[in-house]
Amino acid sequence: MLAIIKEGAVYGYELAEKLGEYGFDSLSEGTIYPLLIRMQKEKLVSTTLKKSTAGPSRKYYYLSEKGESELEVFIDRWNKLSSNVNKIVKNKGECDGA
Amino acid sequence: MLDANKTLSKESQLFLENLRLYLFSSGKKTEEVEDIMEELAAHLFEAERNDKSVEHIIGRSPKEYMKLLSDEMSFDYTGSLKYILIILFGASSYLIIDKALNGGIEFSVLELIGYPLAGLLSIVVYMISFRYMASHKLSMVKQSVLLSALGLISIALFAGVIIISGMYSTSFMKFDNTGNVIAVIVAISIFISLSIWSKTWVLIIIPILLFGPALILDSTDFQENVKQVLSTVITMLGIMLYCGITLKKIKNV
Repeated sequence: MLAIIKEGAVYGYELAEKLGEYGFDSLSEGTIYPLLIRMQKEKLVSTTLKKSTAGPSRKYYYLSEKGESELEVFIDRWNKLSSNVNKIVKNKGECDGA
Repeated sequence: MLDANKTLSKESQLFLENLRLYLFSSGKKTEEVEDIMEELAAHLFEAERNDKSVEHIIGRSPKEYMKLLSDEMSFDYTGSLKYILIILFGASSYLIIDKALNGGIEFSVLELIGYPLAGLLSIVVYMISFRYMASHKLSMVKQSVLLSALGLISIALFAGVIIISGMYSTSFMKFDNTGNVIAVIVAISIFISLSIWSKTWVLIIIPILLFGPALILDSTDFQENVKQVLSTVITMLGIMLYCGITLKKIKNV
């Protein structure tokens, strides 16, 4: 979610749609809100309320400085984890092939 | 309440109303509750325009979703304490006026401990039940049974205190005439202060309806039982009329 917010400010519905586009379509859309509340409390995101011509006001989420550094830490950890998992999977594939 | 709610489907409106009740009875901060309500109303508004159901947004179990949200929100200690104190002060004021009008203010140790305890227990039982009602789909019959049971539990708790106190307790605190007058003035001041604070007339109108008819009829020449029946009827009609006017006002907002 932090990575999507980094692409540009988004409001809840938009964020849920984007998650769906990235393949997270089996999750109920509403599950983003408990996470957004936690991210606000941990000051990873900041918010602004903007009026919408199409309906009720929308709350837009922006990535804070703390959120950016948290995202960087996560990307680092994820890269290491996925490279290690890839090594194991590749190694297993080679063993099975031999 | 958000304007968008008027354009939401009944299912979404019901979910939002239940969510508000659930979060409120879980003691969550009003600001945080309003914030998430507004955000979810905006989400449901847009989702409905794209033909998505409430289930698509919150998943299969409203109860689980409400709990998920509630777990992330802060408990409002000062707010909850404020409401508990208001209810206890309001109830005590009612009790003081009632005793002053019926032979003078007199409390036993059991009453002094029992009434606040019965009040607190009632509040806890109500909060748990409201949370249950908000997170479960109950038929009108089951809701009515639950609400009646809640009323009976409160009455039983207070009646229990009165009965046990009458059986075992001796007077611990007895006010003289001046004490009675001062206590009634304090009780009335509490009602007025609470009304100003909560910006509603209910705390002034209900005591007037409860005590007013009996007080006025006391100075008449009617027989004692006629006085009792008349004051009960006037009180009941008055409360029904007040509820009717309040409901009409809410519907017109």
